[in-house]
Amino acid sequence: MEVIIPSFINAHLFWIIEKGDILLRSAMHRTMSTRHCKIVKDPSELYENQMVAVHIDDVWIRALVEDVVTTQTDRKFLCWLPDYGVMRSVCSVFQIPEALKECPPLAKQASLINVVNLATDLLLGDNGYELKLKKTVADIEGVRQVALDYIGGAEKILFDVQSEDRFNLYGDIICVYPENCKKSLTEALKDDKLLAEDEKMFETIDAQRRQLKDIYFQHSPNWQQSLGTVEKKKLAKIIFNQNKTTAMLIMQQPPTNPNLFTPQTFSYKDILVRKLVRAVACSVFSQIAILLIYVLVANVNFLHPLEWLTSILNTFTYVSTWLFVIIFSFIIFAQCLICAKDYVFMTSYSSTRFQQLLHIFSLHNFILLCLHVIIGGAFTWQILVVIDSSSKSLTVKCKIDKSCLVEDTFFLIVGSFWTGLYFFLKVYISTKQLVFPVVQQRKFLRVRSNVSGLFTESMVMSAWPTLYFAMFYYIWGQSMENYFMVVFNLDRAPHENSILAYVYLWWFSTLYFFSMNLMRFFFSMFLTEAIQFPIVKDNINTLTLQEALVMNNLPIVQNLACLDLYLLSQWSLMRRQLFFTLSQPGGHPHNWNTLIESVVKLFTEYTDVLRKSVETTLPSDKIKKQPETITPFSPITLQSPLAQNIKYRNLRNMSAYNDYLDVVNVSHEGSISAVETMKKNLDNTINKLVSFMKIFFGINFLFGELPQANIQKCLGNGQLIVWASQGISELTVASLSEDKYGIVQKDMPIIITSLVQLKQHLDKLNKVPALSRKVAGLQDFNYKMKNAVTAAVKHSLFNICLNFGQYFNDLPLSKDVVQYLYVNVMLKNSS
Amino acid sequence: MRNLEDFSVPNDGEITLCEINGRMQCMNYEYANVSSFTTSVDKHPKIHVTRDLVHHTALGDEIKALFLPTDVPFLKQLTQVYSEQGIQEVLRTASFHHHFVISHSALLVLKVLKYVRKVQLLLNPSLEYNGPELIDELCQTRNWANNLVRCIAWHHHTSRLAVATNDDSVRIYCSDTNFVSLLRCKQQKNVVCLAWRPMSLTEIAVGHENGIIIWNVDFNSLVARPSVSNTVMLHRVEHQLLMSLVWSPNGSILVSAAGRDSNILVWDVELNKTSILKGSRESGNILLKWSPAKDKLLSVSSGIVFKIWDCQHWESDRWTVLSGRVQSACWSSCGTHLLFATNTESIIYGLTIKSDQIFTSNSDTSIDHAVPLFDLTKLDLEGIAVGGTVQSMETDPKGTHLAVFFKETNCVAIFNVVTSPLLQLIASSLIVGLAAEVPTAITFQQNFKPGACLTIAWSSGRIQHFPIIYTDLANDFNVNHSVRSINNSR
Repeated sequence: MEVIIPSFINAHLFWIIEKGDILLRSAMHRTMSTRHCKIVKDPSELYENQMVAVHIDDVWIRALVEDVVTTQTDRKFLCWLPDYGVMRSVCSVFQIPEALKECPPLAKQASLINVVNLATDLLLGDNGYELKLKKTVADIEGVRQVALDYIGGAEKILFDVQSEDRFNLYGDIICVYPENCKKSLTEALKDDKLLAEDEKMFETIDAQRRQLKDIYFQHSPNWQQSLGTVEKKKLAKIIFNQNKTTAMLIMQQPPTNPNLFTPQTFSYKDILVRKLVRAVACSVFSQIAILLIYVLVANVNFLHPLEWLTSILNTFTYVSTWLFVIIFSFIIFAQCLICAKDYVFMTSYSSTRFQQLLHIFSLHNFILLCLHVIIGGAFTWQILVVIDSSSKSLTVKCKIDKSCLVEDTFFLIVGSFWTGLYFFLKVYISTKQLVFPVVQQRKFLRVRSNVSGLFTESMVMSAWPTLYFAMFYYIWGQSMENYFMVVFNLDRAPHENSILAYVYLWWFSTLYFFSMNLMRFFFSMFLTEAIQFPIVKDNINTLTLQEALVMNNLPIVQNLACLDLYLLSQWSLMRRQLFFTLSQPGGHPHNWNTLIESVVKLFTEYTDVLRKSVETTLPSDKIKKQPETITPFSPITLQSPLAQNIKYRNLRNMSAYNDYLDVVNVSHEGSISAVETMKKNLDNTINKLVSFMKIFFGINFLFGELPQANIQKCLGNGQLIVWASQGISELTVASLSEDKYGIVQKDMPIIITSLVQLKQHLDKLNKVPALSRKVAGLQDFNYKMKNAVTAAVKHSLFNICLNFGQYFNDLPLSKDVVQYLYVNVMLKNSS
Repeated sequence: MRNLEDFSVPNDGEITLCEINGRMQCMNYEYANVSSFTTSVDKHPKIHVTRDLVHHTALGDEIKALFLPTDVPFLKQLTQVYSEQGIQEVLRTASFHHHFVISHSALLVLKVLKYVRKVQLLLNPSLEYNGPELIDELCQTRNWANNLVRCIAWHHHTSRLAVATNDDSVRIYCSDTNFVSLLRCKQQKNVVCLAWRPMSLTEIAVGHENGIIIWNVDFNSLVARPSVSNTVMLHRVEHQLLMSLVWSPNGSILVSAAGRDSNILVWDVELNKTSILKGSRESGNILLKWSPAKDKLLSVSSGIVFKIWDCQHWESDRWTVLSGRVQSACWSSCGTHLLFATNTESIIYGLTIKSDQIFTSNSDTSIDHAVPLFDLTKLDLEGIAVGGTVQSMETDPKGTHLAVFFKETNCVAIFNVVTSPLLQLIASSLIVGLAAEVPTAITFQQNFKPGACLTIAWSSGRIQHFPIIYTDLANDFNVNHSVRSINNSR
């Protein structure tokens, strides 16, 4: 390939840039110059090797910050320019567009292959001294100078890659001189007695190859290099070949920052706090916005726009308006904070009716109930006050020293208290679960496409409480009103009850429902927004994807992790690569191992809970005794079942035969005396009596375990399995083309087996009466979730089978698993 | 720009049977047999949908004519009318009643309804047509309303062909058995589109007038008509006249476009929940196509706009055509090129889609207008009329062939698609059916190893498999060389 060599340090360390990549480089310049790059003010935001943008010689360039030197007067950033292969120090660095971070460095570190330097050594012998050439790996300035001469004179430089590893290319530089005269740099330097061939010695450098760059630039003071030839040519059109960019992305093995994006600390607290703060802020602001829009619309006066404007301005100049807005915002804020807990923490499934009751009548719920009711009332009152403070107030002065009650207003306010109560009981209590959207849209688009739907929904929903209240008021309204008047010593205002009051009530309830729904929507939108977890654990504070996957106590984090796994398996080649790389040093696939451990743990735990709950729910005669446990490996491989020692599954199990060494317990049954028989009978009778009493007094009803509770809990977490299974199967399938080291292959049996086991237990759910189609309605969440989980697991298995079809017989799978797959997944595929 | 004169036409009285190594093979229709050229489609289901196979649901008027009118009490008559024809007809019947109050109040209600309808029309002009009319106008199937076959779809991984007929039923033909599953239920009316679920062998989504039905067909059981309990029914009130359905490549989500809804819905099928992709208010959507590169989705509206959605973040690129609307479109194999035709011009356009996300801001590096690729102006080639505006177009899974058929003429044209260095269409072969046969719907088989296999539904109910074979790909399916040499020498 034709290259340019921006920096030549010595034979073991230089950088090359492919000529073809220069187009890419200039395209990057332009991308950066068209986007607005923010300046990085605080150097503490930077971490080592962060990708930033710098502005040198009127060009925007990507840079990696190596060091920050702060003096009294100014601050300098030492930057490595990965697209130029040179080191520069600059005064300011800028944020780089996210997309450019992922592009691999264009300048690649390279080395001449299998050569070492020759140093002249003076040997003192018996006959005086003699000069000898000694092989060394140490840096020799002469080599650099001569080589630079060769390179400098060349018309064209070719680099012949003979081998490459993760961050270095090995090969030979071929200089092409005028009249097509070619010369290999290695040969030339060898002829000059500057280099010698020595493969073994050359290999000794390998260990420190990664640090070569740092070593050199630390010790040499004159690293302030020029950019070399910046191509001034204006390129009219650059056509990028998609395949080539992909190829480049794959080629780059160790990304500059192993996690590609994240700041230094990344814990679940950070995630949640960030999400909740935004949700709360949006909720509060949306309330104010609704009020604002309402004022705009309510005062509408197209014929006199000026009057319209002044009336709006007037409204907002009242102190009372602001007082209400502030108080109201506070209440909303408080409510948000309390609700937040509901969304974030685990929804506990109560296994007995008693627990359910306790849950319903908790202090937490009581506070929320009060808040809902207060907000209901305050909302209407606020609107009444804001629109028009005189005619809609609760009382008017009708006599000199006595106020009178306006019935319409009274009706509206009591009605809106009721609306708050209704909303809490009907909507809030029953639907606490966060619903993840089907596709991850941008937030703005989600708001735009959902708001109108929410409004119409609120309109329909609020019709019912209005109707109930109208009926209630028709019957008991009079007495309520009287009571109120007596307590506050009021008179009745001249009667002007109109039908419009009902419409108003409906309208206010609609607004209330809308604002509450909007709040819930904001919560679910921010909390369900996908985030990218780091994959490599840099420090203790980092919560990696693998850890988050098994975070049972915070379902929201667990859900997000599963979602992230699913998304990365589909969309992010770079992040997938992180799983398919080996650790440095050591060469272990740590990332993948921890991932697969977490995922399998997730699956097996789920399977266990499923098994238990199905067993308790189904009458015992319905469970057929069939071979349930399936070992992941065929017997030949002599690996023990996975559940017992998942930790050491990569080690050979030396004691695999211990299955055959079961100790048989032999017990003797002696003769049973008559006394004991009687005792047994008595025990039985007492037991029966106790159980009868339990049923009779309703103890069983209250404290007995509910049959469906476990299954409900299981299915409540179904979304996790949906994402995890699809994600892991996509990753497995991707490994077919992306996994160079065959990391995934060794775990394929485990993945397939745990998925098959899961599927088998899911199939058993069909026998649970409450989940069969006849009983469950179409709208039943459990029924739908059961189908979703089953379908996802089935599709994941199918995906693996389809893509690994021809290699399937090579996998060490146990007979049962293969049998199951053939019957349930692949057999139908035979055509 | 190339035009249709590049095509060679089969001899008079011959029909086109297959294409082998780029050469069109024809035979006289009397003894036409594709297996004399290649055995690759021998196992494909042989399908001929005839009029007597199709059981029409009873048409109201014909049934009525069989019975003599009787005198029934007025109230009973009303309930009968209500159960058969709905509330509007009840009012109309009531307006003829001799009693003054009843007839007048019925008339009044009718009048109010008329005005309500007018307001509705003002807000949403697409309501002017009734469902089938609108479908007939917008749909990819030619003469949708009257033809026997309305839609065909091949399974992704197996040789199963689903055929929707105009009696609102879907039949599934398999290559390995003669057993035909019949999918039919009360809710399934006016079927427009079919979509097999990827990563599944048994699930198929059927888009009908009011929603989507997802059938789970167990091909191992011998039940010819699966019951409704094997279905998932999805519908939304505002999502009417389903026009196009498409599954994501991993089968996890379903996207649907409806003629009367400006929004596109993305479904989680099992959980029955949706995300909304917002469209412009005034037009419905008629066509969805997922790019083979899996990262883009094309949606065509019934107005001048079509959009290309990025499937990761679901943001869209908005494109417009000058006049009319996009009638049909398809992707090239790598997902970087889009071919489309409008309903006003007889030209196939090509569009290069920026796939490189990093460089989207580079306005000067991308061509942001479509390039006309092939002129389809109506021509008379040796007595056969070819060309005109396009009805529908499809590319094969490998992306090397494009099949097109037209609104007015009766041929199916096959092009070779060349994507590098420049997007080009090269005329390949012209498929002519029997006399008076008109192509209704076309689709490519998804898992055809030796090349590509186009399946055409003709208006006679005959379904033709048209293999396009490359002998170097077709090791197992020996092409009959002797016949070929005879043909060549002729």
